[in-house]
Amino acid sequence: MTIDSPADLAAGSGRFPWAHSLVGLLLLGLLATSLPGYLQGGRWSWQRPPGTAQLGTLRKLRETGIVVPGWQTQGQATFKLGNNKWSKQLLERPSQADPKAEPESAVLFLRAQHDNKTQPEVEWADFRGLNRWTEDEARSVTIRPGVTARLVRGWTRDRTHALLQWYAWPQGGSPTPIDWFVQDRQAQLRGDRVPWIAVSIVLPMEPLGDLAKVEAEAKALGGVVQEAIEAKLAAKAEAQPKDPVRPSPAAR
Amino acid sequence: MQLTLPQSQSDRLNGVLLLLFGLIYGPLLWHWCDGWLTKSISTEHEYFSHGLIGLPFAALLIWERRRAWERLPDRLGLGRWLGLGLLGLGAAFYLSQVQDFVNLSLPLVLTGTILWLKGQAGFRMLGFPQLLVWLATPTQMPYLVAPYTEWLQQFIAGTAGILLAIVGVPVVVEGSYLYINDRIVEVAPYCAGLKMLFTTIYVTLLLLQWSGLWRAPAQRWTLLASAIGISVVANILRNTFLTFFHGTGNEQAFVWLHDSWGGDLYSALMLGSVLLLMRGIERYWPPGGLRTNADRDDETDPDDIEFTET
Repeated sequence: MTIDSPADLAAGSGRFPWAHSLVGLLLLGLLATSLPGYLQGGRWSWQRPPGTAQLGTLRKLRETGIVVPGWQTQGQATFKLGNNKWSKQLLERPSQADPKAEPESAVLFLRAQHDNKTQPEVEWADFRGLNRWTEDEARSVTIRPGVTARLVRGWTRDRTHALLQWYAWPQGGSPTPIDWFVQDRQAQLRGDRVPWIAVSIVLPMEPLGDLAKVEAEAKALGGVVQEAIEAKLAAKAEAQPKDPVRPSPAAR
Repeated sequence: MQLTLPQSQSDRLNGVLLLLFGLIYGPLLWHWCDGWLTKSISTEHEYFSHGLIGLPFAALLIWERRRAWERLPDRLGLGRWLGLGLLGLGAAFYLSQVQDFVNLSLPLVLTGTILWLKGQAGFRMLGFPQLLVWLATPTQMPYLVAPYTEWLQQFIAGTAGILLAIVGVPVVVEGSYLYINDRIVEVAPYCAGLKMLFTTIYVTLLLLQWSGLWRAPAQRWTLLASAIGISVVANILRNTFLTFFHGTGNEQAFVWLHDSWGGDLYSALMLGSVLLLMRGIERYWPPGGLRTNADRDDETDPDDIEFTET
């Protein structure tokens, strides 16, 4: 055997009998973690993710929509889009500038997580498919620190709307599923989950008009909706402390 | 100074490690395989069902190379410390007990052990089986890329629309939606053919290794590129058929191709055509140096001979 470098000499160029032992010890440590699973006859904790405490609230929200402070709900309906249920509600309030003018209106669409496993994914593409419109002028807006949304113009031959979309979760929000994913997996490491609701707000605007004109209004309404969602999710968590038991088979 | 362990003792050590590895990851591997076979695993993790053939093949390759592995020198180098780092990371992932991390801990501990025991040389020798294990490890990748495959969905919808129009079926395409006889078909992210594409590439890798064509770059890349092409075309045709079935009210045929064994048959036919193509290349375009079946795995064959002698 040739010795190529001083490092080889130092290492003796021989075998390290302890190299195997080290791996063995490490694996023994890991085996200790899986022992409870073996003792329970094959119930492995990695098979069951932590439960979402607010699942009940989320499911109900699909049927009822949400109360938006400062706005009146003129009607609410639940409809199916693909395999998912969305809540649609018509919001109205007197015009801020001129009380005698036509009331301001907006349409709020919510798609809440319905079981422990659903993850936000392509809600915005589904929504575009629903409206059969063209989307352009997309931009990212900050509703408040930690909550961002996408603002786009959606138009067909005879109407144009401003559209504000984001995934809302307690203390945060983003239009990108990956942002939720990172938050959720961090929470899972703590034995918790991050519940989510996909929000789409549709506002009327001038035909092919400038999005910047409705941006402030959209952000303001977005902020109110985010707060309403957070309050709702927090209230439930207090009323029903998180169940230490893992979710029922039905939720899987 | 030389602390060479007798062969049998080294075998025993490896055996103990293998046993521990099996006890720790056996349930996880069972969970994967059972999930792939009974489709009880999540949609994302179903993308990795090619592990059903890939994982046993990887185990076989590692087993075949065990004698050559033993003869690799035990040098202390950068690779070994990297291996120790990966082992630590893999252990931490396992201890988290969160599914995504536990899944990833398997290839991490495997690669970590390989690097730690034999450094870069060991890593290279078992490079291919490691690749098979890494690519068969269920991760959330399909979920994470889903929002970014819309261009592919639209391309498939558009092409399927053209094909249907050519054969005289009235169809309107809007983005990734096809409207036909007042019925709507959506080319959803999970219909974009990424699963089929991923499986095709994986199976092609297996075929290349098995036939020895892996060592001929021109043939290797030709086969890989053709396999990708076949997969994309096959998926467009599949979506065209599905749209046609749904649009003309033939729900039975739709369900057969979409959810039942029709889909599996379709995939099998497609993979069969890749196999035929590989046979064609072997026959009509053999690699220059004739480094095919006969002398595949340069490193292992001499060892195998020696093994049979001892």
